[in-house]
Amino acid sequence: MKPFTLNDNEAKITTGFKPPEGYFEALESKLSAQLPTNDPKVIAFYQRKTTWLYAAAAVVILFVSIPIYQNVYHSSTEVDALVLEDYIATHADISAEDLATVLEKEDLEKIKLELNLGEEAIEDVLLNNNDLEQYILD
Amino acid sequence: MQDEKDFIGELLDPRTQNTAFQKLLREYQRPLYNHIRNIVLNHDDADDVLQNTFIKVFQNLKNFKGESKLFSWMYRIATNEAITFIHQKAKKNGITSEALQNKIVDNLKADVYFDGNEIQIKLQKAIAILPEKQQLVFKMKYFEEIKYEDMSEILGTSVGALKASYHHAVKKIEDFMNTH
Repeated sequence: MKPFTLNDNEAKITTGFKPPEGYFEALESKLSAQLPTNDPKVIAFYQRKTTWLYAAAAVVILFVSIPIYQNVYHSSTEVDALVLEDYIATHADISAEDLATVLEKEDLEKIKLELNLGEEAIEDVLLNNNDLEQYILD
Repeated sequence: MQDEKDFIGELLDPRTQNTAFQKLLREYQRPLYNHIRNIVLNHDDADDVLQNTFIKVFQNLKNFKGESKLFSWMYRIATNEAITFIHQKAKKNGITSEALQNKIVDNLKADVYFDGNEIQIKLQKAIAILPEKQQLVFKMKYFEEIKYEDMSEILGTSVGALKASYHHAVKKIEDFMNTH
């Protein structure tokens, strides 16, 4: 028996594979349906559910945040001591009478006590400050 | 085919895309089917792989740089898809790719989409014993008659190495056919 060879002089052996009848025709339409379309879908703005959701969320946040902001930043009705001091210092036309009408008797006595320097201290000041004598004579 | 650059332009332009893709399909579906079927052996599997190949081609057209011919680029995708498919199928069945191939060849007689005789089945059995790369080279050269230069572009292997692979494959097949 002649040995088997695959050289060009021998008749070619085919695979014997065959597709079903009409396979390629059907493949065309099957593939066309499967291919992703490149046209972007047009979605109207008002049809977008997410837009409405975002809008509603924004309104809720706004309503909640305004009272919180007011509570946090404007809760104190008392005037800051520093601001008050600054106001008094820059508006120097407040007289002693003005203060006296505002302050209670107790407050005034407290001030008096605080200013009670004692006779020695006054003498010291008078001795060390010659100009004061002139003021007293005047 | 018309100037390839123009054709790729048509494939990428949304206005001409569908017509151009139909043209591409008509031109390549038969040779690509044969190429895939020669690797996976079974019609249903070849059908799956061919559809995936065309979908991948369509999706990746925008990345096709034109460094190789459209023909070899498509064959490369088809080859990779078919080999990956075989490996995954073998893994799923818990057997090696060789064992899976032998199983399919043994069942060829019962395959309604196989119209071959004893010699054709014996040849498939002989091919199944070859290493994967030699199988691929043999099938592409002997059955599909693809030129070595094109095959080199598809498989990324030098022409010399491909010729050597084919030579070894032929020798092993002839030995198998004469001893079995």
